[in-house]
Amino acid sequence: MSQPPITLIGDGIENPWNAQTMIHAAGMFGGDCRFLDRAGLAAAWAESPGFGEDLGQIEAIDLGSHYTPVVPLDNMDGAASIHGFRMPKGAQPALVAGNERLGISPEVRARADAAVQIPMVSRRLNCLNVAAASAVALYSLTRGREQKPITRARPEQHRPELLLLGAGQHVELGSSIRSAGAFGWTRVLVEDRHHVWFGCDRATLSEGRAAARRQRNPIHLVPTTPDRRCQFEEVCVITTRRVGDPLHRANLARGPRQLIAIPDESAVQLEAENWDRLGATVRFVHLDLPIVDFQYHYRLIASIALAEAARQIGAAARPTPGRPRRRPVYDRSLAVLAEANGEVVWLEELGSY
Amino acid sequence: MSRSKHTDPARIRAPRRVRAPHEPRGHADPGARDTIARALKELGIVLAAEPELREGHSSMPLPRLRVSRPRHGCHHPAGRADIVRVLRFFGESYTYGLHSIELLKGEGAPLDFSLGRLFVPGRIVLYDQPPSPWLLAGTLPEEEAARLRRAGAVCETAEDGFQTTIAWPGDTLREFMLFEVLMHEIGHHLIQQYKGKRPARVARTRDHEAFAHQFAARCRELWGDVGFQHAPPAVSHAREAQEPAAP
Repeated sequence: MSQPPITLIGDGIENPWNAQTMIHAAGMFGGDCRFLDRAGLAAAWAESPGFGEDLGQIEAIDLGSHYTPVVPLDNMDGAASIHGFRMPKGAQPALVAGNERLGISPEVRARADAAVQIPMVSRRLNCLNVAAASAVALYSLTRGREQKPITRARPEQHRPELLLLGAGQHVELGSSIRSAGAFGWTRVLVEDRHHVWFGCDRATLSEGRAAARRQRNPIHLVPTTPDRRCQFEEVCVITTRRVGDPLHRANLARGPRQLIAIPDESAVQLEAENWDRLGATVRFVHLDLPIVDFQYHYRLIASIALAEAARQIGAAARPTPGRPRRRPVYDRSLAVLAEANGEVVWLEELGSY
Repeated sequence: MSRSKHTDPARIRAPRRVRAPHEPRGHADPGARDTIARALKELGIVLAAEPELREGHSSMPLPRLRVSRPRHGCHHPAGRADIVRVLRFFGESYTYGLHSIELLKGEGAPLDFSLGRLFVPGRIVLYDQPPSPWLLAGTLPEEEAARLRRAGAVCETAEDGFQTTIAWPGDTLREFMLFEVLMHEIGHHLIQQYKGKRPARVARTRDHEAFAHQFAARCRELWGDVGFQHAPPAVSHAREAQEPAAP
């Protein structure tokens, strides 16, 4: 028996653009999206031009009666990892994604049957863009127990290189970079052929970078060009078309010999690209989404792919309490510096995406 | 002037302890031997002089050497025979306190360049390596690149620092593993060994690393022109040059 589609509920969302992307994220998985309006979203939605969809609203009091089970997506205490989580049985399941700053309201928490969170590596950036997080959670919940979390002794040795290719919109690219940082990438190759990130005009630049540069934990953005040749052993091209292996079956944790290339399919023609320039073997990997025809958002596709890659890369095992103190170890290895050119972006700058 | 028998210089103490690790500390003490010899001499008995304990002699006990099969597509650039030759060249002062030297499979992906590791106290691990050329994502720090070039590597970085290729012509990779990795880790070991043998850090990591790099460079100088193509030098020559590297 197939599971009913999960309804996405936005709790206290402020930005109408995020609300629209959440509607599209729910649509990718065949579900609806509703909003608990606490911060004037309806008014902002009505004032914003070009939003064709209807902003479906719901009252908190109706939540329990309309939806069962209700599962908040929030990094609260006791929240289970999204990987391997099985949705409790119910006629109309709902996933509640909260405001990025304020989280889920206590009212919704009180009605929750369980809670889930997306495990992240970064210690500074503890949340994704709300629409991207919703897409990641919906993808994992529809896959159910196929996606178990992985624990490794040295997960960083399994992290592949990442290429964000041809993004057509600076906010979509910024959110994707934010997801990459949150999932533990410290270096990202950016092929900015539409000039939405490097060398763009001042308005786009300030909108893209947003907040002031401060704190630590930078992510290195390395510009690449379409004529650059690379020598990766394997290149995995992530696409929404049904070609190649499905995402959950592809090995995305082969270490620095592997390149994960995520092209923006709204701005890049897959057939016209010369993928052989990137590496010896090129494999296409598709997202295996239940709906074929949906509104494309680069940040959603990139975040889903990065979350799955991060799951496969795994997390280090937590030390058991009472373990004897570790004796000193001195390593001799070749450490690689960041690139001489490129750009350093502080993760805090990406907080507004 | 009195002197405790426990404060022998390392070049005397190390061979004695390496050869008789389970004997009490006063074993083979030259002071006690001289006392007995003097008493016998008064009785008209003259003992023949004992041969001097020389460092690096072929009878020198070595730490346990363990070799594991490398991963598919990788190899151990420096084998057991190479390590034995280098250890004998430098003598007991450098191996005192070492429990084992192990050639193991690397733990990560073959292009993650973990070269070697010291587990305090006294366990050194050298990891297998992919064949030349090595391909690194990014740029090497200048000092590291200079070290590789001194070891004979040919380092080429792409114009934009995107990738670095390291080629190892001839036997350079073997010598690199022996001196820049094995002797580097022995440098770390000596700091721990000659400063209290505590299984805790006895120096800041930065100082530890600086000493180990310096130590490895000095060992390479001592090794000098003695390549693997030549016979090993007379042990006494090596011993003259090597003062135990007190950290």
